[in-house]
Amino acid sequence: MDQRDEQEFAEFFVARRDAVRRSAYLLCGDWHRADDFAQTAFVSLHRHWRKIRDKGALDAYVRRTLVRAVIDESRRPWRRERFTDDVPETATGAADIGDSVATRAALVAALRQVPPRQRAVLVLRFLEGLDVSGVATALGCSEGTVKSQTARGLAALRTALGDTLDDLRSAS
Amino acid sequence: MDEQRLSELFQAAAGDGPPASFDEADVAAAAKKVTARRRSMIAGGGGLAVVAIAVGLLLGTGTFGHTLPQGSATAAGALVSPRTETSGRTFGHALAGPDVGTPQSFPSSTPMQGGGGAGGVGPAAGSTRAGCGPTDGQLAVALANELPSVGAPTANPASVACAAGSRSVTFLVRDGVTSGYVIAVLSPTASNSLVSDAAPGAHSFQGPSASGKWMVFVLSQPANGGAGPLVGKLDTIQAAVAAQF
Repeated sequence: MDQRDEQEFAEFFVARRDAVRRSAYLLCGDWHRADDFAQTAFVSLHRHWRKIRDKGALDAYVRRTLVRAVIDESRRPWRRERFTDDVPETATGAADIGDSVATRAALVAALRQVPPRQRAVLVLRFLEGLDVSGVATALGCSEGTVKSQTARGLAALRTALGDTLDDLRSAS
Repeated sequence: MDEQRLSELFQAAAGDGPPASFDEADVAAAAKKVTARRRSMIAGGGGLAVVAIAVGLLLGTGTFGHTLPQGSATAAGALVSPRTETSGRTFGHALAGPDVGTPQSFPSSTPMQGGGGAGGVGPAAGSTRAGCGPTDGQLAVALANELPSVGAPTANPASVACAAGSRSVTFLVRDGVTSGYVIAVLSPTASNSLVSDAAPGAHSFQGPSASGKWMVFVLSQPANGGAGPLVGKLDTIQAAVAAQF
């Protein structure tokens, strides 16, 4: 890339790094791996920066790369996620660390129980704020698939949360 | 809980993380490293492809050098004349494409149909009458050009009696459910003994060649009783072959 491209990339990187890291964190549930995934997405963006003609689609490119990286990683045999009945990081009582922290920890732990693709749909919809068509574009699937994956993902999330978040049980 | 509440929960869950462990310089360096690695892989792959092509060419040349006799005859990739090398080995199956335009390149010493010992045209050569002359390359090409692509060729002798000085060729042809021999003979005389002496069930069509030098016979002879192949097209085939001699 030439100087001008590097400058443009730097501006985008500074503006979007934390948001991409947050998405990656909810997708994988671990900040270290989240940084790896986010860096992978930005590296891919850097390599293809000159080929991306529509600079308005940069977010979509990074989002797609990130989700694919997380899902691909979850499929690798040595990294394959195993679903268990017990949530590995159970939130402690609110009396110890406060309700908000307990809620966050419970949600992140429950998200890890949701299958990767359904989890990606939930993160894109409720963290990134994309609508159904936006999620469908990001994941390369139909809007109907997004709707069904959302319903299943929320059901899986409710099951994983159990009674931890009572007000989520009726969410749809 | 509505979507708004759910969104707030997600935002809060990912709210405060540790500082990022990478910056723009790390990304740029990693991108350059990946690009360099991809380029080296492509270069390595290109080198391997060149080596593979070279090996393939060498092996191919070696294979064809052993497989293709000089001037071997095929027609339309499916029909092959019963021409054999002096060792009696048939090479028609080893050829991939048509090679019908060089009749002058056929070997000069070809076996006689019905001849015994080395140079015979097939296991059933004992039933062939003598006198049909050598399997003729030019005639083989002319006849093969008129036959449809009807299956794998097999060298077999013609069970007919030819006049002295005749030139002939025989193809084993499968025509639908029918199989049998299509025989072309250039006879210096208009003797009918060739036709009358043919196997039962044989059909023939005859006429003078374009030059008037030969009487051109085209026969259809069943392989295992019944009717021979291409009986209804013998006149067309005969006319086309006769036009070339």
